[in-house]
Amino acid sequence: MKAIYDTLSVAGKEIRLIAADRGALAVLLILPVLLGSLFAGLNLMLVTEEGNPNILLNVALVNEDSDVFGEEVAKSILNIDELDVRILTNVSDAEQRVTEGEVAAAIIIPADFSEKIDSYSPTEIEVIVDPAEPESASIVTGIMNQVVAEVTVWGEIQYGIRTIMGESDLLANANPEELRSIEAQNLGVIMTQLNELRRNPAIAVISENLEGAKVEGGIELFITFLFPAFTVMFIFFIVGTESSSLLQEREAGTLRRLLAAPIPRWTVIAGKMLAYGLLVCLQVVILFTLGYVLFDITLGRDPFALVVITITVAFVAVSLGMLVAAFARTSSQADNVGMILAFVMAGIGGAFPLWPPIFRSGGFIGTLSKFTPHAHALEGYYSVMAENAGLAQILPQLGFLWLMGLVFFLIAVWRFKFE
Amino acid sequence: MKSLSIALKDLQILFKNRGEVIQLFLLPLLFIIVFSGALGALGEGEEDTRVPLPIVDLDGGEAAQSLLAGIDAAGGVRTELYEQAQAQSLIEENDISRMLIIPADFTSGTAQGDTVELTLISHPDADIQQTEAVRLVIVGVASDLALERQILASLRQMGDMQANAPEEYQVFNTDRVLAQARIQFERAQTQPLIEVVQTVPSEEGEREETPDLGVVAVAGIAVLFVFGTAQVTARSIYDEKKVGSFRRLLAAPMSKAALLSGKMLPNIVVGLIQFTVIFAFGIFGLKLLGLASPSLGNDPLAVVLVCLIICLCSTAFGILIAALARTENQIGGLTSILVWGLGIVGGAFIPIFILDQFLGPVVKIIPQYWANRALSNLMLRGLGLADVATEIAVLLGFTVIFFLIGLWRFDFD
Repeated sequence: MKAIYDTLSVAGKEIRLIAADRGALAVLLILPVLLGSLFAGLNLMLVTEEGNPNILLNVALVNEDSDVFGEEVAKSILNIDELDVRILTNVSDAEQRVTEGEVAAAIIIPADFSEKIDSYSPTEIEVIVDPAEPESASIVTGIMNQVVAEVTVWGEIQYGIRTIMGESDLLANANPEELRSIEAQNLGVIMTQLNELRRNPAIAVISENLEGAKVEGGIELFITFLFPAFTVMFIFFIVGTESSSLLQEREAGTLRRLLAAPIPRWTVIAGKMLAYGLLVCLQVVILFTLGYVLFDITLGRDPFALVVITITVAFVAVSLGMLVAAFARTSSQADNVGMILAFVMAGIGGAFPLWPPIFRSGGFIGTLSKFTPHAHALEGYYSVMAENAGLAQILPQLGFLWLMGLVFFLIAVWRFKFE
Repeated sequence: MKSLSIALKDLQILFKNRGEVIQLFLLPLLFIIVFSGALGALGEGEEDTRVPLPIVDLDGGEAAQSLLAGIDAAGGVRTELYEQAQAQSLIEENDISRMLIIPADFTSGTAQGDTVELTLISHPDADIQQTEAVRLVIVGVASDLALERQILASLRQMGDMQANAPEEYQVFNTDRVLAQARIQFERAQTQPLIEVVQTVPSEEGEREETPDLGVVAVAGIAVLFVFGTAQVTARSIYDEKKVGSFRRLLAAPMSKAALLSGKMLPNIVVGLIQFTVIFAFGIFGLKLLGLASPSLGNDPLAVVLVCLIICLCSTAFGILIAALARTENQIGGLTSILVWGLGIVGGAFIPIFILDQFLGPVVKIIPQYWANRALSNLMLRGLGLADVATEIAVLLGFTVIFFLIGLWRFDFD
């Protein structure tokens, strides 16, 4: 009973110290909140409620072809909501604007575009993109591939009809009026097909789960990944703060005083760990609440599993802090090592906001990531939150994390020098 | 001269601190490795990382064969054939995550021009992003296959329209139409009628090239970490104040300006070393790893000049932080928000076109934003010194403002 009281009073003292350390609180609490909101906000902004991209890219269009296919492509481009199109007449002018970063891309329709399609010879549309903006480049090229697909169908159909008709004397013998009516029929067929293509594709692909419900992917999932990812990354920043605080006490001599107090040694360590463990839980609560309230992340159907995994991760993080404290010689060394460990393990363990997450990517790096607590913590959080897993399904992750935490803790206790 | 000896002393202190050296020089390299996808590239070639896709082929016809060949050829997905009952029981046990069912009428249906449905079934626990990626691959291959059907349908329709024409003009007979559609479809597979070619502007006309995220990340990460050096300057000033050696320096026979510039010089030197290390790694290291690597652009001297100005700006930033923060904790807090927070918002990881849309003019008050713009204009877009005059002017403006505020608020005692 007294030991618990002692532990609590050491923890209480530590919490007062942490609360006064505004720098550490900024790193541990404010920075993840800012970054999480920024990334989530950006991603939400980029996608409309229907799941379509919601962006506006400046592009330049140079249509050197005055005939029907060039016009058709130009018209389609102008109709695309994501593109703010500036029509230019000069290719080098357009290229210059891309070079200066004024437009994200320039789309060039060559002068012989329609002529080539009419004669059924391959042609191309050039998309000059800004090398400094890979994302917008791939968006514009993706859009152009879609635009071109329709014109391709048109060109192919036209060629097919002409080829077959050319095999009879029909065209040769027709008078101008008949020719016009054949052309009109030709065009009618093409338009019917294009409309059909837009309305219902010839081969439909249906994605459903075992119960026959439609499967939806999308941005919500990425954001539901984003919050645990940032949370796990910043939880481990506690390693530097905790270990350097312990060593500062040793350097300042207050640790010795604590040891002289009539309390068991281990309660000093336990009190420290408890205080920092609580700070970790606070981090998780703040970040997940923010995500839930502002960004609609799902928390899954098993809140108890979330609590268990949070306590587990907190234990691993504070044990790792103790381990660093046991091996570092000075407090500033501990701070630096802690920070580097936090970044490196976050990178390898998949806690950076990159999709798909590294810990699920397989291969060499996937295996490597399994050696970090981050990968298991994230797998646990993500399974519970996004995939409705319960406590039972994340038992392997929990077991692994407790094992890691215990190993860290035991080595730390064995090696730590109080004086 | 006196400034120089102070600077030399500070550099010695800095390089003794291994943790700081790692943070300043190795951490940025780690970031580049993560963002350039080098981590992913490490594991490639050793094993098959394609997503396995169990297939239940109830059709077995020619169209189904082309579909499977197309999916395998698309990369990223590997088809595996299963019997329906076997696949069904495996997916119920979650031994396989998803399966694609090709209906029995797939070949005949596509040939006749009926709409056919492919069904991708996934286990509720399957990775949804992966399911979506698989679906997109199937949709892509299916729309290629559909081209044949579209040509066929139009030729038939044209034949119908010609039905009233005299007998000798009835050329749209079934065999002829099928053959024509097939010929065109096969040609379209190898030689599409219209191709979209992506190029980047360059001196010698356009090059065909895909801009690469890793290449873009190099300059952004360099800027982030060079500004991070401001923290070192601020902390070194604070440490000297704490132990009282600053006061002793003040007592030395030298001006305050010389003292302060002596404290600034190491930051500039460190920043320049950082740029050298990061760019050297970006240019040569990424190439060695077999990845796309950036170049210094067409005007390397301008890059050097901009780097120097960025180092100046970062140093002034450090002085500002040292002047504003009164305790070590405040230094930590201020740098984590101003240096890391603003650095990330300033375009280190988020493309600038998205930032412009999201934050509007707000990004323009972030020095890192201008530094990123200057470097990407020079290194990625291949522009010259004259084209980054605005960015340079703004960075120098920030430097002067930071330095003046720093000097005004600086407490020498």
